[in-house]
Amino acid sequence: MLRLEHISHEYDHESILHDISLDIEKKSFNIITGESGSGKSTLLSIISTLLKPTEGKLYFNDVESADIPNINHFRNQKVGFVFQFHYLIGHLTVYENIAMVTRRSRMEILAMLEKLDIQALANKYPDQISGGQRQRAAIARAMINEPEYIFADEPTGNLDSKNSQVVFELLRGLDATVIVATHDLSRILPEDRIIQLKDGNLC
Amino acid sequence: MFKSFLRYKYKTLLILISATSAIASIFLITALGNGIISMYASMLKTDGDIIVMQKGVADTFFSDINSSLLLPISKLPGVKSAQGVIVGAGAIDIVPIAGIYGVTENRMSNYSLSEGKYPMQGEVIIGESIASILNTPKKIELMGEPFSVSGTYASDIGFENGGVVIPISDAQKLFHKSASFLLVSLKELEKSDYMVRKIKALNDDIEVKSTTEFIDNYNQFKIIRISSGVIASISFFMGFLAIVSLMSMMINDRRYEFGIKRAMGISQAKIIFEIVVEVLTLTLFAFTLAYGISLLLLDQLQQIEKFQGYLSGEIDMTLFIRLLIGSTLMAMIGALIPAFIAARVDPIILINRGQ
Repeated sequence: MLRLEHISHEYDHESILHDISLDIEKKSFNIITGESGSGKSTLLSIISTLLKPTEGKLYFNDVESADIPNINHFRNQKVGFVFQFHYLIGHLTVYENIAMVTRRSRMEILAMLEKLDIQALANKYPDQISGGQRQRAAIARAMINEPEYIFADEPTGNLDSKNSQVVFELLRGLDATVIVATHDLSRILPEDRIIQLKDGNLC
Repeated sequence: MFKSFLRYKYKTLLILISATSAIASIFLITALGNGIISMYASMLKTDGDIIVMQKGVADTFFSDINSSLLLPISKLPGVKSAQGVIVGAGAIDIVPIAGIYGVTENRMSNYSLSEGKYPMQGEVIIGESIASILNTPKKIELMGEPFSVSGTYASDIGFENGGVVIPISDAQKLFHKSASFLLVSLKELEKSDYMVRKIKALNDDIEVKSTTEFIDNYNQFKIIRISSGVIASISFFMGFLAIVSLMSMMINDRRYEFGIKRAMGISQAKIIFEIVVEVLTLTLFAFTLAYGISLLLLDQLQQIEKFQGYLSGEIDMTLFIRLLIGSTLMAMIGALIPAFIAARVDPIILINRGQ
């Protein structure tokens, strides 16, 4: 289980998040939603250990994030990230972007690309493929180590409707705890856990 | 790992050019300075374990010592030979200025004749380098005085190869002095301190030093060493200031990449190791390139007829190692400081700032 206790965050003396506490069940599908500037991305960054909160504590299976013995290993093995702008490294091919974060074999990486229907793009650079393909490559990178947690920040923000649907279907099909920050309410299903934010507060 | 060089090819090229020019300029300036020193030092060391010159003068060019001291010095037990030398510079035919060496007869044999014979009074032997400039003349004018050319000599010392040698008696008339310095060759070099004291005791107006001590303390050499050191340091500093800023710009440009890598669980240590390897590769490549260019230029400078072989230089191992360490350290500073700073920032901030 993932637990947040009294998380607050300030940036440049401006309060972004106020006293957020919540529990997230294992292997649940969670959507953080809210208007632009409501603090969705900041909350997701804190939950995913990419940003230290100004106050409060974060627990993964009752272990406080600050006490995780090797945070790099934790991020590499337990966590997968998908971002709005894919964040692939421009001078590495699709294959190299994935190989960079894993010890899995070439065959396993290619199998993952095949699963996401982008095997033919393995040797292409990010600027040689479409936005939807880049996002699939980013999902492949997030999934390659079979993490327990997947964090996705506006993963469909730059995609058309068809590609958005594909990305959400991929995320829903994962055997992991998934947390997606999005303002796209059309992708929400009744069984999803909704975390609604407004001006940095839980609604 | 080195794909980032291609990604930032313009900056990589700028760093490579800056580093190569900075390193090459230090190699050249220092090597040329050392070359001039070593040429003059070689000249003095030839058959000279001890140098005797006028007391209290700053330069051998201004020294005037009585050449009659040669006789009592040569009679001292332990002395193999004593030679008198006048070092001067003046117009030689169409060459506005070149070295004119007046030497005693017993020093003539130090000049290896490629043709002709050693000079008598009114005659001159000329170095191969100046002979080639003057088209192997039969007669030349030294500072307006006519001389017959009796032979040509070859010397590895550029100063000598680009100059002329005349009997000391003729040089005494041209330069109005008895001798610039006396060079004393010893039977046993280990006794040089003792012999220095014995020679000093002959006359109160002379300064006597072992050649090694003289070379280490010679003001002109100090000036050359200090000036070339200062110029080389300035060019090194300027060149590497450019490298440090370009390196830090390149690393700052890659904050986004470092942020992503850290978000994906790649350790700061591994990221910094990659930077170290990249910086080392770039610096070593620039260093090798600069070394090659410097050797080529030094060789070409020595071939240029106009310089009469006066420009000589060689890159010694100490300079090589110092420069290798210095250049690598500077490049590391430029790259690692922003990398260490980036390593302390939260990954998402790096990604957002670097976007």
